[in-house]
Amino acid sequence: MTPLWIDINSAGFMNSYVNALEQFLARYIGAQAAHHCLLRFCAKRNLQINDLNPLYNHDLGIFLRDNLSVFTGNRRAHAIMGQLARAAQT
Amino acid sequence: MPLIGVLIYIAIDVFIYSTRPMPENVMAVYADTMIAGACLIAAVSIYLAAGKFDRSDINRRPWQWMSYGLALSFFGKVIYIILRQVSRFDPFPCLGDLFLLSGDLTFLWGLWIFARACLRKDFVPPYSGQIPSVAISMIALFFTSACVIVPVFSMRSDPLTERWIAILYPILDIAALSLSARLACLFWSLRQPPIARSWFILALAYVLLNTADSFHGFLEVMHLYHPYHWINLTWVIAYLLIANAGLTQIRLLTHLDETASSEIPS
Repeated sequence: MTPLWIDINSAGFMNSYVNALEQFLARYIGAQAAHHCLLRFCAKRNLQINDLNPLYNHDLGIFLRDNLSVFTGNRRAHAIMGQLARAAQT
Repeated sequence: MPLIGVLIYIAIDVFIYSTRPMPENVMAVYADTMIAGACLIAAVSIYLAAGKFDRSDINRRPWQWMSYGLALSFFGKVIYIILRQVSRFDPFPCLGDLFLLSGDLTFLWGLWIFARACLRKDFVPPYSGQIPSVAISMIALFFTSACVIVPVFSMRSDPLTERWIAILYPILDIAALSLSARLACLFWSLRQPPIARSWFILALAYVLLNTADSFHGFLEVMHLYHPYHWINLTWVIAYLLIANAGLTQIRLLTHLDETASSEIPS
C-alpha cells in the first residue's frame, strides 16, 4: 500500500490546497466521497470551497475524524487527524 | 486470504457436485459440514477483526455482534447435522432453528448498527446508490413473497407454528438482503473506498448468502432441493467471502497502525 500523507508544501494557492486535501482524503474514502465530504464541511461553515486554507485544518481534522471513525475506530481516526495537522505545520 | 486453498476447495467441490460419487445421505452430511465449517471460519475471522478495535471503541460493536451471529448460526448448523444423523429425517423445527434464527437476527443487528452510523456520515452523498438497492430489495420482496411465503402458507399442511417458523427465515433474509444491498450499492457508487473495502466485500457476501437462502426456500417449497444442489456451494463461498471481509479489515487496521507510527515524509 502507498503511504498516507498530504504534501501541503506543494499547495501554492487555494485550489492546490483543496486538491491536496481531496487527494489526502481520497486515499481513505475515495475521490467522490472526499469531494462530497469537503463540500459538506464548507456548507456547515458557510464557506466557498476555494476559501479553504490551512487555518481550517484543526476543524477539518475533527470533522474528518468523526467521519472516518466508523471504519477505523476512534484512535486511528484521531491519528489520521494528527497526520493532517502535522502535515499542515511542515 | 489463502486464495489458492479456497480455489482448490472449490475445484474439488465442483468435481464432487458434477460427478456425484457419494450416496445422497453421505453427501448431505458432507455439504452441511462444509457450510458449518465455512461459517465457523467466518465467525473467527470477524471476531479477530473486532479484536483489532479498542475495547472502549463503539465501532467495535458491529463486528462483535456479527461474529456472535455467525457463531450462533454455526451452532445451529451443528445441531441440525447431529439431529439429521440421529433421527435420519429432517428434524425441522428443532433447537437448531432457535440458534439459526437468533444468529440471523444478531448478525442483522450488527449490520444495522454499522449501516445506521455509516449512512448518517457527511461523506455519503444523498441518494447515492439508493435506486439500485431499492430495485434489488423490491425484486427480492416480490420473488420471496410469490415463491416462498405465499406457497408455504397456502400449500403446506404442516401445523401453523411450523409454518410461522418457516416464514421467519425468508422475512429475515429480505431484511438482511435489503440492508446489505443498500451498503453494497453505496460503496459501489462511491467507487469502493479503500477504507470501506471490507464492508463492501461483507455486503456482497451477505447479498449472495441471502439470495441463496431465499432460493433454497423456493426449492424446498417446490420439493426440488437435494444434497447435490449447487446452492450448497454458494453458501460456502458466501461464508468464505465474509471471512475474507474480516481479514481485509484486519489488514486495513494493521496498515493504519503502521502508518500512524511512521514519520510523515516532508
